[in-house]
Amino acid sequence: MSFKKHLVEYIFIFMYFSFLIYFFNYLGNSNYARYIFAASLPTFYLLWAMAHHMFEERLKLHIFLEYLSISLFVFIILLTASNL
Amino acid sequence: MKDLAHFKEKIHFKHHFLPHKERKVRAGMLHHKAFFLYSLVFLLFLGIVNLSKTATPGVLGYASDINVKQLLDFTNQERSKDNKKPLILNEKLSKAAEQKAKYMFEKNFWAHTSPDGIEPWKFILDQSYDYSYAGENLARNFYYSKEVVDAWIKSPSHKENLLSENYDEVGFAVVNGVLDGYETTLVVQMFGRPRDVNNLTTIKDQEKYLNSISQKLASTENNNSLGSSTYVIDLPTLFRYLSFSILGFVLALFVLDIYYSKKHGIEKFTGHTSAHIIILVISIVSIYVIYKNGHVL
Repeated sequence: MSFKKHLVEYIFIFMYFSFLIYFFNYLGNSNYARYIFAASLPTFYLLWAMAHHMFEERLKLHIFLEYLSISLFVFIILLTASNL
Repeated sequence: MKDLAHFKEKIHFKHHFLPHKERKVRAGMLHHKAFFLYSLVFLLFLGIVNLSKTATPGVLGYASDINVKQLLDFTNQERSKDNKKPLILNEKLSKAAEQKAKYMFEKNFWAHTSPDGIEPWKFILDQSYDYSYAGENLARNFYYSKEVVDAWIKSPSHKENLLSENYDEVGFAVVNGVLDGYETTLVVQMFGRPRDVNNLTTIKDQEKYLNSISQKLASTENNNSLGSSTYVIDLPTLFRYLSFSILGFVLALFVLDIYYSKKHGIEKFTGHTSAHIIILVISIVSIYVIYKNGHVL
């Protein structure tokens, strides 16, 4: 996949995540909203990564584990930041 | 031979932080096993902290430095900037604010009107405060009195209450408790104008009340309705700094990975480093934006 196509995807991801931040900031009073945000951000990232690499035909176990580990890491960090 | 072994050890250590040219892999600290380990360590840390909270009460918790005197001073400072007369601290309004805050903890809600339909005015009337005008501002999870008043001033509806000429008196409560399963500091500000002007609080009454608050503050520690909670370690701050630090560290390693790989022409068969950088940056921004403390209502 070309750099240009990657860039388009990255911009889309960035905008989608920015929208998520804006939306959840609007709901910010609720701790449950924080939990949902903590789960939705890495889940979307993992799903995007799987779809992207499948489309590129380079989805291997170690790539899946790479995205899974980073998604899990981000989820736990966000959960920690929720004042547990 | 000893020098060679030492050199190899040095090279090996370097690749914890930098990509490996021959093996065409990322730095060891960016391997998926490392991320699983970080997650496990964080989970263990969370577990230990939560156990310590019960094992060592008063050491770990939510610490804030908010008190009634400062809230009154900052409120009146804002009013004087707008050429409005200062509000007088009223004991009945403060008690009404305290009852409202306690009720929010008891019923686990955060709103002007409770889920069972109780409005703020009930708490004021319960204190036999007969008013012609009344208002309420709420705040939660701020650290300092100034932050609370600043947040109210930034919000148009709260600012209107705070600077309204319809009010002569004010009451505050700062109450610590558990809301939605979290240790929370609630600040309730209640405004009023007594129907009978003869019932207006005098400056002398205010001074007397402020003195009684200072005395109570000196003898009370946590879980009071008058001032700050005094934990040794503030958990939200600890968690936030820890999250920022680890995310920043990993982010720096990924940026270094891109730079070093380009410089040395290392082609790796891995996931997209730029995408990882995006999610890490977004996580840092979201912690700053969404997971910040302090909300007004």
